[in-house]
Amino acid sequence: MRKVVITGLGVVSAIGNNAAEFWTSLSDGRTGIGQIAKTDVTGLRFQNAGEVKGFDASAHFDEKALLWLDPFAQFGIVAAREAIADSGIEFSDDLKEMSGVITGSCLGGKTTEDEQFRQLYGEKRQRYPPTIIPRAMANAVASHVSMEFGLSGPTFTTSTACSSANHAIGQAFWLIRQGALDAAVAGGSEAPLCFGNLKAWEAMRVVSPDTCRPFSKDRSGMVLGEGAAMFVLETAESAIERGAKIYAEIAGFGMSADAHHLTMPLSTGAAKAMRSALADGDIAPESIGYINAHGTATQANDAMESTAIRQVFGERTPGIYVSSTKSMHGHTLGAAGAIEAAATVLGMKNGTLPPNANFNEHDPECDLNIIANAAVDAKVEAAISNSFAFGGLNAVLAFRQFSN
Amino acid sequence: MTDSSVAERVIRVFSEFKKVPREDVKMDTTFADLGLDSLDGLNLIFELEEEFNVMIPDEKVESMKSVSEVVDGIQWLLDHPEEQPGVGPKAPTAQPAE
Repeated sequence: MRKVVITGLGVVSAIGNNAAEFWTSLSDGRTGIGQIAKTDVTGLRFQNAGEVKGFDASAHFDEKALLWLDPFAQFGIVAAREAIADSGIEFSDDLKEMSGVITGSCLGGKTTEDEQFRQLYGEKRQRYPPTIIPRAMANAVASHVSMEFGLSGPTFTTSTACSSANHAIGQAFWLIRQGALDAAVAGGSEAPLCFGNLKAWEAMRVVSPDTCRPFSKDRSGMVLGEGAAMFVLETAESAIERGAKIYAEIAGFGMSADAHHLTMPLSTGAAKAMRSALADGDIAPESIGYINAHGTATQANDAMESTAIRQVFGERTPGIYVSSTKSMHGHTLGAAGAIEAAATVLGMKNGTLPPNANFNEHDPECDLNIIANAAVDAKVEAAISNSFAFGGLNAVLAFRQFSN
Repeated sequence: MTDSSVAERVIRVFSEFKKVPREDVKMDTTFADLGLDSLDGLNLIFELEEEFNVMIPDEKVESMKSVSEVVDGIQWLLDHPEEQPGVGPKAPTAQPAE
């Protein structure tokens, strides 16, 4: 079976608009959560989010291109360009045929639709520009990246709420491993901070009025975030042949459905996805040294996830470092798996594991080895990154240090 | 508005939500008695917000697990309108971010 490795990555997030800035913030434990500035949130029960700051779209796209790009697509394309440049991959005509783009998004161009619906129903606007449909479609990032780089292999978008990006990266990994693709750009992007969507999240009563404190006893709910992360995946063989730097091997992927409830997660479903990821890559549980948790900071998720981790790793659990980096970049929904995969592989490569910020107090219901507030220096052999979606759809990626 | 009218309206919302006769909903009936899970409970709170035209803060919701607790909570909100979170801007005016 072919080995699949990550040779490039790009990030746009509340804690940095490229991978280097992102890593600096992460390793310093610096949170990007703050007052929402891009839309008026007067009267909303929560005021904070992980907002992308200082992102100058006009520096990346000309005016004509921007007409067709929702913010979620802007973030995704910018991250994909960075990943491709970072990897140094040259797409020959043959490689283009065997390269695809697989992206995750929960909401697609919701920001565009929100504004247009406001004008339609609120202002009784009579005519629409023809840009709305292409801006709003959830596959916009996959399509734009495929067109920009001429990549004509299997290309599509997964939408499984908060697991979207892990499902996307997992599909890309499997398609390369089985030989349907030789290389892929994969990841996720999301721009959920429009008023209509914030209002909908308010109704779920799971968003913290304060900040995101995963696994802390005083946690008070999730905090939304926006951004994107994209990766270049290719076979280990091609990466070695062209002398590319290798961040990590994607070693396993596991999926499951709770088959239980729309919003109450089940530990057995989460545990099943983690076990599947380990089995898929023939990864010994004792080689896992770090878990980038789903860790939304809701009461339900964090207790459930802690139980699930114990179900899988048993008495080895205290020896595994755990953090939820959502405490710094927020919950980016369909981009979450990708941004957190970036945190995981950068941590593995740099020998420094990113912390769980905003942690105040140990919770007996979350009895894990939490990396509280400050990064730890540790070279781990393998790691997993968890994503669990509303609707009970789980996806877990497993990464391993690459050795030939 | 009297206590009894708030209670009557709360009981009506409960009975219509669960499609059970009003006499089956008593002041000490809990969400759990009616077999409501967390998501059902969230939806029922929304129906109550609509009925009374109030915004119930998250921390109030946590103390509303029975008919009498809901009646007390709503009465308190009606008496303290300043404690309700606002309803937000009518419409954001910004164009989609470029």
